[in-house]
Amino acid sequence: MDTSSRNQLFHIDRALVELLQERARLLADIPMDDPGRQPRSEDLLRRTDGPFDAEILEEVLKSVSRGCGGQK
Amino acid sequence: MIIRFQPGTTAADVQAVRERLESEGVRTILSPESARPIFAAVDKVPPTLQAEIESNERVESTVTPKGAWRLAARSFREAPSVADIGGVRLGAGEVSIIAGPCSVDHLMEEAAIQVRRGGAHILRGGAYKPRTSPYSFQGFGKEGLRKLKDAGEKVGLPVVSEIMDAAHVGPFVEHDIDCLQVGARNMQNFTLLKAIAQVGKPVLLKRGLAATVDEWLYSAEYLLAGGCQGVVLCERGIRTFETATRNTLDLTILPLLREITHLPVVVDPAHAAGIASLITPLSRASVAVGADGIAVEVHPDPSQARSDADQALLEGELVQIVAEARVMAAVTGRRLHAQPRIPDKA
Repeated sequence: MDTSSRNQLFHIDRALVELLQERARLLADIPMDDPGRQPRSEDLLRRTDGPFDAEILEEVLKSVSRGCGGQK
Repeated sequence: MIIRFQPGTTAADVQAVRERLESEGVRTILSPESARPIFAAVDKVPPTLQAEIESNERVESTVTPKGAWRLAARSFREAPSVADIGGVRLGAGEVSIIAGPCSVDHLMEEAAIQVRRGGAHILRGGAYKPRTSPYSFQGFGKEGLRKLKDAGEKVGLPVVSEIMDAAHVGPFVEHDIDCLQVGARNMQNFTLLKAIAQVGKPVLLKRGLAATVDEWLYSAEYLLAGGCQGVVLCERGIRTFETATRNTLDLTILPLLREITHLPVVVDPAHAAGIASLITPLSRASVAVGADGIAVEVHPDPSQARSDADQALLEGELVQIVAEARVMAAVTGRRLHAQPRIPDKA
């Protein structure tokens, strides 16, 4: 892989991490049982058609939800 | 000239250099910086004296800023400076949203609720309005300040309002307005700048309609030299040959300002565009290019707004701007400021 691609990957990963942290910060004061905490997975999956595998994406969204709740 | 010392230089060593300069008639001002001693020589330093200062082993470097402004210069501070507006810290690596009606009116409380719900951090509202036409609504004055402050307290947000005249300092202090705004038309009203520098509140300094960056920073220098500790620059569009929009939003200067000044910068896309539909994309661009904050106009019923109705946003549009600011801040390595807590009822 060339340096440019590696750099681009690093910047995308960094943005993903920052966005996940921001999502967790936004949820910090919202009760754990509030249904609005969950990602709107169906909506999100319906709106995306990229090469990322849909099943894995669904798993990622579940993990995001767990991570934002501070769960392992 | 800015004189930057080695970290750990004693106050006595710094004082000796200051006294040497002042013995030659060069006035000096110490930076509030704590990481290392820094001071500005505000008068021209003769070359022989500059060489003498630079040969001092405690002096790490001397910097001559591009303009004659000194206290606003990036080299005068180690880190970007922060303006604390009623607990909302502008310039601390977080993005804040200022929102509210252009003019305080009978719907001020409702507007404040919408601004709070929309996710903004500071409530704005004009009580003294500089209008192009003398027949346009001029604002509710002192009563407007009271309405603004009351609305801010109810929703737990600090408030900012424009001051047009040094004679109005009293009402602004009386109503404890958290931040004084100097409008574009008053950017070079030096009497006003000198008067409000001493109030002890942060100042939001809008760029003049046709002001260069240099002129803008000279105005900031007036505030800093007068003792103001929280100067925030506000880009609000400049007058160009283009007539398709009200003004031209000059985002080019944002990364430039980062290089030449330590002051936080807010962008007001509404006054630049003058068209509500352009404000959301311009807000997104402003955060992407490094703005510390966005200032927009929100009104519960723009058809009843007493001024600038065409650029007033609805609550839903504010929500969109805040959401996008959150995303853009994160991808540029910053974050959205946390909303101030609503105070407990007495």
